[in-house]
Amino acid sequence: MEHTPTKAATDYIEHGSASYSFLPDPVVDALVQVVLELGAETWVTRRRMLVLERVMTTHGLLPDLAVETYTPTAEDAAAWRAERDRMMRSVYAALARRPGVGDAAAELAKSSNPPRRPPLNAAAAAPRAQAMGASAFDRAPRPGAAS
Amino acid sequence: MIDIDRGTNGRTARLRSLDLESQQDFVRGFREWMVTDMDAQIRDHSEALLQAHGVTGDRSGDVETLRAVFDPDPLIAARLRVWITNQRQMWAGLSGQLSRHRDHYLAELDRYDAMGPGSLALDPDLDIPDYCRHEIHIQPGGYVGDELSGEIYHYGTNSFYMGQNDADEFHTMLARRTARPQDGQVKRIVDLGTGIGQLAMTLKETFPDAEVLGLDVAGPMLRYAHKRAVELGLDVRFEQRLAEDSRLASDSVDIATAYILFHEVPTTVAHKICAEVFRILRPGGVFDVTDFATGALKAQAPAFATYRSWADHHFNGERWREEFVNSDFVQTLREAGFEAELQPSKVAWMTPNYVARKPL
Repeated sequence: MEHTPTKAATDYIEHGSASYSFLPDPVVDALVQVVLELGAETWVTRRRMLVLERVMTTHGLLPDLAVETYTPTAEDAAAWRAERDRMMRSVYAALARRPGVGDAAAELAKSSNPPRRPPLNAAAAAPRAQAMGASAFDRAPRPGAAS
Repeated sequence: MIDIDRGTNGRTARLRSLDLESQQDFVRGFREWMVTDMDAQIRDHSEALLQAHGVTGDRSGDVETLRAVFDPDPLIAARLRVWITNQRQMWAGLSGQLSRHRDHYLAELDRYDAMGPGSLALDPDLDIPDYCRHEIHIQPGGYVGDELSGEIYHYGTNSFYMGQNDADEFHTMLARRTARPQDGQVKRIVDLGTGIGQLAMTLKETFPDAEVLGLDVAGPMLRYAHKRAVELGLDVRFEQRLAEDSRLASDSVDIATAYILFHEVPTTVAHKICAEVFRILRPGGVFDVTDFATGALKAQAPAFATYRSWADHHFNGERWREEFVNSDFVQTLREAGFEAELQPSKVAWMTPNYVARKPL
């Protein structure tokens, strides 16, 4: 389609302003995002608890202290650990995002099978950092950081 | 995350996971708080900032001047931050869950494509214009880039319509208030940029004896529109065509509608669409457009609304919004040959209603 773009037509952030820092300090900007993700996680959990309580009460299925005294099976523990890890990626993705460097952390968080965290030593960590496009992380000055 | 049939809400299938439904409920709840409680403070704050910077009169409509005042302010920045994060949360939750169960949703669309009532005509050879190949409202894949765009859009806009979406309540209100030809004859209605077809469907319910067509460039949106129309038993024709090239006969349409279409296209295309609608409407036919304020009406907007409009364009993938709001759409309609005027808004947030009639 023939069209001559005007300034207004091109002066927009094409891919969702994912890496833009609205607040002067990008870490504070990230923390605001973390707060919203935590709010979502909290409400999701609380709403499920409300549903659960209502269903179980209605059906007479919840003896006293049954929840408090339940011991998870090995399968429970593995599944809940995976769910916890998903929550970590969802809530804290913004903290792993470098302003102006795309949205690798968020893409990673959306992935159903993200790579597990490598051992905490420099040799193992370097390839992962490079894979996330963060090889220059420690060298680049952080926008807004105090000098 | 669980993915099962969880029944319907209004006349829309519930999201197939309680947790996703709750996550979207949070998104909506936060948005409602943001546009009420938070914005009440922001309005006062923005006025105080303008006064402090001595910005008054003509300068209050100039975006660069407003950016110089508002961009550095932490409270304004926080408002933009939480708005975009809220928007991103909405899309990420939906897009993630639907994509994980893509096969299920695509099979559903496949099953409905050839069913009736109504029909679906996709055009695999249609040259999708560059002007719509971006992520509108930062929706992943936009309207043309993801096979599940329709589903993602529909559930995402639950937040936008704040409780007026599940049973198409908002679009029903729009349809019932649609301008009609003065002779009252309505045999054929065309909804341009119909998207997921909510207005086309509610127009069919409002005008049950009329033939209703919904046209859109986006095949994925139309497939979802057709699926919902079939589920609701509504005989609507959905066709993948450009609004500026409808391929409909001249003088063959009684009512054409366009709800929030024009701010999604360049002004050059807006002119072409108006010319095309003038061609296909019969003399006495009416073109009913709901979209943002332009021209003199836009000039009356508070300064912070002007800044927020720019922010919507810049950060929220509203690529053409600034072009549109800085045009004079009544004049665009008149240049196409219409007798055009602004009517009072039909919707709660005061988006104007442009009514254009083809002279007899």
